[in-house]
Amino acid sequence: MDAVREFLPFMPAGAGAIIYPLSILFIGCMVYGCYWRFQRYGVSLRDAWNEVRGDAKTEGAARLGNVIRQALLQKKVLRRPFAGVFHGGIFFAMLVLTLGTMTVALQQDLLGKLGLTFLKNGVYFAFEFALDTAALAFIAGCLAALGRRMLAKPDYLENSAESYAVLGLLLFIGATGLLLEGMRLAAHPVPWGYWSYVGSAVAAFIPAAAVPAIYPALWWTHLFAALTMIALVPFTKLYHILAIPVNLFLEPVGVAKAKLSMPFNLMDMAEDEESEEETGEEEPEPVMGFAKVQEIDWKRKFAIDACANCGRCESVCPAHAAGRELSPRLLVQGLKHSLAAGVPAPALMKRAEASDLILDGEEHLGEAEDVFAEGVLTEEAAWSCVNCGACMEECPASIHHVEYLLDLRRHLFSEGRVKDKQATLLEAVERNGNPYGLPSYERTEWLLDKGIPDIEDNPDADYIYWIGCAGAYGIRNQEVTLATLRLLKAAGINFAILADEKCCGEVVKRLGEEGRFQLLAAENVAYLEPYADKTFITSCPHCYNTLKHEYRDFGLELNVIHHTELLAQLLKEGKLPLETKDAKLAHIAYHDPCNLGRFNGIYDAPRDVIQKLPGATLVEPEKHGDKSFCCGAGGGNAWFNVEEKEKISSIRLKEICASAHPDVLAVACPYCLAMFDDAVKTEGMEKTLAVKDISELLADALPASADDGANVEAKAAIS
Amino acid sequence: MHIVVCVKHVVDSTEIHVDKKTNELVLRGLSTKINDYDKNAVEEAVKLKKELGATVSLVTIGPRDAQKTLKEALAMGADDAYLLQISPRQQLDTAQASLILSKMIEKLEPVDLVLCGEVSEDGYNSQTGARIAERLHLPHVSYVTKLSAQDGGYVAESTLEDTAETLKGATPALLTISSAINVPRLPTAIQIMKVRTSRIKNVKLADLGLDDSVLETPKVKMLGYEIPEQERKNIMIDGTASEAAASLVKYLQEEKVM
Ligand code: SF4
Ligand code: SF4
Repeated sequence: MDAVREFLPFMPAGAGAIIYPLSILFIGCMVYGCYWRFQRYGVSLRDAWNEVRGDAKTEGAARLGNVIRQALLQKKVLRRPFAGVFHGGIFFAMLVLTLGTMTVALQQDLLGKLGLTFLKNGVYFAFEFALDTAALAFIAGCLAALGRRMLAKPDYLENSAESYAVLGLLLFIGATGLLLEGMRLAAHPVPWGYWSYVGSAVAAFIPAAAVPAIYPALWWTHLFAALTMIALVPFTKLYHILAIPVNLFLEPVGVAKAKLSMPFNLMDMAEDEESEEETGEEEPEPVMGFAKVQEIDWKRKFAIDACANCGRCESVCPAHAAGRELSPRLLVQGLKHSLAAGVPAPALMKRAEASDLILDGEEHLGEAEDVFAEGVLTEEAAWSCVNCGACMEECPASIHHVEYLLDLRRHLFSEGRVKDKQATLLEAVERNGNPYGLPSYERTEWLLDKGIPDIEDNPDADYIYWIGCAGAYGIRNQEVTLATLRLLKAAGINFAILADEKCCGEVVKRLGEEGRFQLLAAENVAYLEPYADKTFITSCPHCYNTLKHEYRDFGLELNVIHHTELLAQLLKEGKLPLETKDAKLAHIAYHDPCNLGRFNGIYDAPRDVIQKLPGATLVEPEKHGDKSFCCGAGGGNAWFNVEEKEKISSIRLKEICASAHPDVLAVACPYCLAMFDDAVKTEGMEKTLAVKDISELLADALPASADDGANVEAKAAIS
Repeated sequence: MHIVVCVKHVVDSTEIHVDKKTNELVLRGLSTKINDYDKNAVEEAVKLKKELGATVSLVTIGPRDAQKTLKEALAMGADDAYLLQISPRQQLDTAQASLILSKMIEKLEPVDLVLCGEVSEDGYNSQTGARIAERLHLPHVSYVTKLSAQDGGYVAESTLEDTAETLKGATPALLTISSAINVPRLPTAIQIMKVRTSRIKNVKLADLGLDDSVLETPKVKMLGYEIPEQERKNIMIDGTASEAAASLVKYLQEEKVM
């Protein structure tokens, strides 16, 4: 006789048949729930469907790939050592158990009726083994999750009654399932019972005689619990099981991480304006950002609704760590509540006595002006974001926190609710072409005086070295500019600078003054267009982003590289001679700038350079690579102050020193340099830690003879 | 209440510099903008508008490009704008400007308050406001650092170096507004763009009962200019706090400033 699974023992005949109508009923509840939830996105099913179908036609395969990587393979979730593993456990186990149950149904109710039995002997044993293992992982995962909530209690995790109830339900389903199996094996032992090793272990504790009486009741309970869970999906945080994969599919592929949205095009508007003057019809002002969550595109509403409130974003947020009024989790949760309430929800983000931010209940306060008035977040919170992208790197739901914050900043700008320093900054950029408010003619004058060629003097240059505002005006960063120029000359690179370079506009864009950014960008694009065949070298990752990603919106595709990329390549090609004699031994830690690492994936080039420095040992801080922690300057934050308990730069500096114990902190971004220079002073580390740009470290290792190698004037000019 | 604000379109003073080769002052080809100090006056007027429901009119004399300045001030919240257009090369002294502006203001009567910035960042004369008041026979308070008004009267605090006077007066009056009074709002680029140029009304000298001769009869003649020598000694003082203080005193005595 074949070894097969005993189907519904101790149950009256027909019990199996009732599963189907019951399932339809509960799944019906779930479908209805999804529809109910869908209504809050403010789009008709047909429109949404058409849009998704359109997307699927153009990039469906790529998006599906994303769903598989992120949802099915849990790529983001597994970034976390503990939470990732137990969530992965629960997820994969649930997948196996659901598929297992469906396999049994298929065998029993379809194939079996046709006289086909595939679930037998070896296949069946493997099946039992897999299901038992899954059940074990499932229960262990649920217990670990509960343990984390009850014992470890990380502060980024919100312990609501709902989260306990959901976890309790899952645990109950897992436990009753195992108990049922154990009962079956206790009452009707089989010789292959050891394949169901968990069930058999449970069976050891069950008196066989009691089984027939208890089994049916437990079976019904298990069934109802499982179906209830399905029905509850759209009404609880379990919604993320459906919403996250869908949201991943809704996300366009191939958009650079550094690229920010462009809500309107000023150039088109300028044309409209002319026709308006003629026709006398007034076009409405374009909407800047959003004031209420109801105003955003349905896909972005859907995205925030997919948030599982897992707290990953908050746990890595430097603004939150510094005690600023921002938590990306509470931002998303606040928007989500506001969306759910339909009418504004109340003070969702409040500062609690202790230290942390808390979520309030959902009282309805009636119509509020905007999300700030609703209390979703404070204006200070919107300005607190350093645009580091750490939250987005972690978020398993692929929510773009920065874009929501940017839109809120845009809204604040359109209402004139800006800080004085921000207004000053924008005026400086507008007038002087740099955020320092220093005269534009001073930007490159000092370099031209040193004999650095302008593009007009060297039109055949292969490279254009884009100095950037910090490299041109920042006293400390001017040294980096000089070091980079020295290296370019030593390697015999044919380059030029742009005498009339201007601010790229990054800060303006990230602050949310889109109009001023576009005016500036259009001007820059017109100036840069003739040089589009050259390669642009930037020392500033922020300029890098803008030149490479943002100017595309204005029709300019530039070939941009960061100086560390070029230096790594020059070293590889042996074009930079290094002095190895008398090299000082140093432990060099590298701080990944957010804009270079996370945003542009440049992790190796800077490290390659450091490793080739004579006498250097590269040491890694605990937070490095795509888990790097911001210096605190991004998103315009270098130019104004927000309330905080500790400086982000100090937090980072201390973490680097504690985990990597470096003698030198190497950076590759002018903002990071300025921030850490400042933090080193704040922390009194001037004597023990040097902060240097990678190009300075490399230039220091050039032999004196290198300067007259390629270009004799270079030495006189630079040194 | 009707408030008239005089605004000036100026070259960006932060960009004025000396050409290294010719040793000439570079004034051409520089970006132009609204005089920063006038923005404080506009801001104050717009605040009063919000508070009292006043109407705010802007007057200026300048090249066609001065529309930019007026658009920005309109985007800040002013209601009307009047431009007397002159050629970009035309220079006016404060006597000429105040004559034309006072005529423009007369045309807009009834006027309760005339506000001017304390100074213009190109000429730095601080005269135009006072001259207009004189021509219009208006009482005048300068360097106003605090202002409240209601129909028929105003209370202004005027701050001069280390004295502050609070003055109460009846309208109409002319006040020159100090930059310390407020932080002007910053309209977005879109808001400025969306201001229609047609809201700016062009005024001709003839409308004011003046003829072109007013442009050709300056009261002030520019004889020439020199760039003042400025040298920094860049002395760094080392040592403990008391040593450093002692040597600082020594240096200051050598410089005869102490
Ligand atoms: S936004 Fe993303 S990372 Fe943050 S709590 Fe929600 S799902 Fe988690
Ligand atoms: S981008 Fe950085 S600072 Fe901003 S919310 Fe995300 S983690 Fe926080």
